[in-house]
Amino acid sequence: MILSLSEIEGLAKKAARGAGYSWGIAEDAGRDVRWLEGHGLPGAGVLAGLLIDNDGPRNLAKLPPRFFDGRMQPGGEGPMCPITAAAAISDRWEVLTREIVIGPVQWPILLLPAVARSAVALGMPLTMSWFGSSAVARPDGSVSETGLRRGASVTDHLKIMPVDQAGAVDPCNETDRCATAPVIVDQLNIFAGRTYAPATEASRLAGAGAGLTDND
Amino acid sequence: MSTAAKTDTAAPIAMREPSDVMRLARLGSIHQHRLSFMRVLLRRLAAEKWRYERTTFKIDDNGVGHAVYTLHGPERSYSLVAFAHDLPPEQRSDRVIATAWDATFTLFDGVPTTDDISRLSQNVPIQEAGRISKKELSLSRANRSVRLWEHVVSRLAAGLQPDAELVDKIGYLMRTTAVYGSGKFGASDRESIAARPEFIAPFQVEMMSVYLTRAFVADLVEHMARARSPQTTVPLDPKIRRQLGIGNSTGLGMAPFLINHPVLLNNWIAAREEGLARVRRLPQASADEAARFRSLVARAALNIAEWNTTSDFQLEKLSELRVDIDKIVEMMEDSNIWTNAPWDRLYHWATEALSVEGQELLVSLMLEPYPSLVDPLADCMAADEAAANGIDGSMTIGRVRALIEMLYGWALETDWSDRSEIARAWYVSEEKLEPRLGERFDEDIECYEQPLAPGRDVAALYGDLDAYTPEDPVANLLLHQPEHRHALRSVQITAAHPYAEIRDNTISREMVPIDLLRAKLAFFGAQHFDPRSDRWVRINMYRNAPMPWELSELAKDDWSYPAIEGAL
Repeated sequence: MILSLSEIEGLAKKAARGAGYSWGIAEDAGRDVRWLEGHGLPGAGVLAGLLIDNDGPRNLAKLPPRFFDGRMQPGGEGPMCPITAAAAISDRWEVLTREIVIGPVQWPILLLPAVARSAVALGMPLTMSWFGSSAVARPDGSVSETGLRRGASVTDHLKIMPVDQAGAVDPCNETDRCATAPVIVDQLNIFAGRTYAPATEASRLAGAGAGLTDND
Repeated sequence: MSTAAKTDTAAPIAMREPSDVMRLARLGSIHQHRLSFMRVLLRRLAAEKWRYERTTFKIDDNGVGHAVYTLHGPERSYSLVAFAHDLPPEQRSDRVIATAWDATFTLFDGVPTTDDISRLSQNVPIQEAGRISKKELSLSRANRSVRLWEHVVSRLAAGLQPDAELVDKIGYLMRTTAVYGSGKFGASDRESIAARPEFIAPFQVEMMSVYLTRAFVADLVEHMARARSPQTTVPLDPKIRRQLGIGNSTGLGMAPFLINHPVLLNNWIAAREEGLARVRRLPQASADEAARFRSLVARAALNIAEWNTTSDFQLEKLSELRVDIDKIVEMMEDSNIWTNAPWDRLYHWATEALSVEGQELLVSLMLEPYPSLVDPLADCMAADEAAANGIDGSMTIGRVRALIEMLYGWALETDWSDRSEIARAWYVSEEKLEPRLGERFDEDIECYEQPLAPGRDVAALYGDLDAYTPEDPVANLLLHQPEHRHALRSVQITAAHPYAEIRDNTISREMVPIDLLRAKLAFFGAQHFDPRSDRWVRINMYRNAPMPWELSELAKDDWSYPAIEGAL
């Protein structure tokens, strides 16, 4: 299915909110999924995977990650949520001026947009790597990757570090469309649906405000 | 006469304070002005001599078929693809939740092939239920004004022109019930076309689509008259054709836009405020400028006389506006007012003498004599919203506190535990995925609430700052209390963009939702606001505007106020 980037951003934001994230985090999730899809990377599918993995009683918002000694670790049991981790990194991108090891963290590709923004903000290339996958983000905003599409659902050891040379690997092609499987859109729509209030006859009449006929 | 030289010697007059401008009552009183998007579009089409072409008109005697209307610009062409339908009256609803319409449209990027038309014919008529592609820039639909449509068809068929009074009273043959742009239902994202000069200003796609819709609708009514009586039918008098705009029915779906697009809102308001400040700085007005203003005041009075509404809310504002116009005319009689910073004095007088609606009409009128000062500001009205959405986590808690106290004083003074201050909640309905406004304490909606109450949310953030030291980076708070992330983003955006935030309670019992609609529609260039309730308004777009083939012939950008016969 082909979606516009604003459609996938809106859907991802609503899905994240429907899954229980705060509005502010959900906005970031929407923006990051858009960024990934706009670089030809599987943002929508990864978000759907994450929300399905975590669907249930566990409340991610209560597990803020902890920073210490060049590490970022879960504040509680289980792996970190990558959306929360990405927000934490975005808010203190100075931590990326030195090597940092993050883990265990779910769906690590969701941290790439924050790393890419940080490379631009810091004016230095950053690499991000985990088992079999790596990416380079450059100060000009371009990104190269190898093995990212394999889509690990969790890694114990995600390393982000500055590098002198950004390498000569071809950058990801930017695109203005999101091509994703209909089943992924359906999955995200299920989460997004949790943000909608069931209609009642009263709300139909009062909430929207318009009349019933246009024959005048 | 050089207006630039005048500004150089002017005393510094600042833009109006956001705390004054960004109140709902004032935003809900804005009138269309030189920077309104319809006017920006038509100025460009005229200046660049865009060529108009009716490429296809294949509509049968029952009014069913399709048509293509193309505008050719210096670099690119755009085509309105229109589908006309035979709609039974019982299906004619101007609510956004309707599923069938008299006509449906898309604005196509270029000139469509027969394959494109075939694809679009499967999707555009069903609107939200279909999909369009990156070749399409908008999706919209319109319903007939049943009263005027039948009248015009029968009169033309009989060889007569429509009744002028009825044309004036209703003002349009069709009204749109939604015009979707940027990325909706698969359409091209705004970001993909925003660098094109013709689309730098906001909403130019949507305005172009509506402008071509107006040309199509007039052709369609003539076609239907011809089908009814080929021997006797006459075409519409070009003057009456120009009098007919396109109506629009807008409900709450549009209301959250201004809250959800704070940087864009800032840039719209800032452009108009900068235009006002530039005019107020002028040390005097030339005789020509004064004459232009005086004539426009008279034409604005006529416009108000032609403004039909049955809304008590709007009728009261209109009766004040009529008194205001008389006061302005009286002021004009004093020939001494045109020297010694006349516009600044006039503005100061208005803040004491006129209603808020009158003040805002005056502001729009004051911009009119000064195209060279005001019109270039249209280039500043777009926004790179993605760039402004980043959060500065290194900002200290102390700085956040100071910003909130400076920018959200009104919100800190509001008692958010008072039920009347939080009586409403914005939510999205499952049925049609449209924003609605409900009663928080009467309906089961609070758990679905949208983040559209920035004042309340920023006040809550402020209350939680005490748990941190002033030197702490706000990143610490965000890590432990992600529920404040949205509000903090609002604070940081408003700190950098003074007109970004509506400085009023958007969930109080007293709030008038159509104020939000009015502000946005006035920036589109809409006129004749006719509220049908406190949350639903009908308007007129492009009334009295030249038709696409007349743009180079008629006076420049002079259509927004009705002409007075025999006057300048």
